[in-house]
Amino acid sequence: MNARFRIGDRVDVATRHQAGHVRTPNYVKGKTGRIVDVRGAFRNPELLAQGEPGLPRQYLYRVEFDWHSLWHDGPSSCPDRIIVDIYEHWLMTAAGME
Amino acid sequence: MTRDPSAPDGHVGDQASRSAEHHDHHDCGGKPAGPVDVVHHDPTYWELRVDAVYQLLADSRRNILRADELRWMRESLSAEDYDRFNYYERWVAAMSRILLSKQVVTPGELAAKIDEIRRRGAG
Repeated sequence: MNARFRIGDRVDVATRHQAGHVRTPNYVKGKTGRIVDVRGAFRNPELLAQGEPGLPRQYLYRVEFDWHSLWHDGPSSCPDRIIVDIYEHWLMTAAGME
Repeated sequence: MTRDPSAPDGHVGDQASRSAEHHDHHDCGGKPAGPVDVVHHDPTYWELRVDAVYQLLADSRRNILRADELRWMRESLSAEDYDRFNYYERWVAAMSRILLSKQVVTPGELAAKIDEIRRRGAG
């Protein structure tokens, strides 16, 4: 099994509303970010939370977002970045990047 | 006694059946929340004990619960409980509910132990 994304890839986060334990926070859903690290493949916490083995493993990425792509308050020059750990099944190639 | 996260609340079945529904009260990142307390706190003895109980329940020999199950059960607390419990009180409430739902302890055993500890505290 290979990681679908590489460092530097631009990705969109899925917008789905999913019942149960989800590690993708609401504030990044539907947003576009950039892969800054590939952490490895881990058992799926959404399935582990239900007492299942958590397979197949899912690649976990560190995804970087511009402050302004998440929140619009504060100065537009804000250079801050927010980095969120996101599993592969929540990510797709950013629209227009195919 | 205004809060008692380990007490059986008579809604254990509700908790279990509610687990299929969506709860996002905990998923509050980015929402207005007021000032954040950033003062360092040493863990209390009680908090260390709660953590120790978790480590024992989750170890490879007992394997009674997992971090993600505990996270999900904390997220499944009612919004009211989630807000009135502090961090480790959420852990206790969630662990109690998991142990009840897996029938590791019975509601009667838990209630009896809570009574015993209350009497010890009062004596």
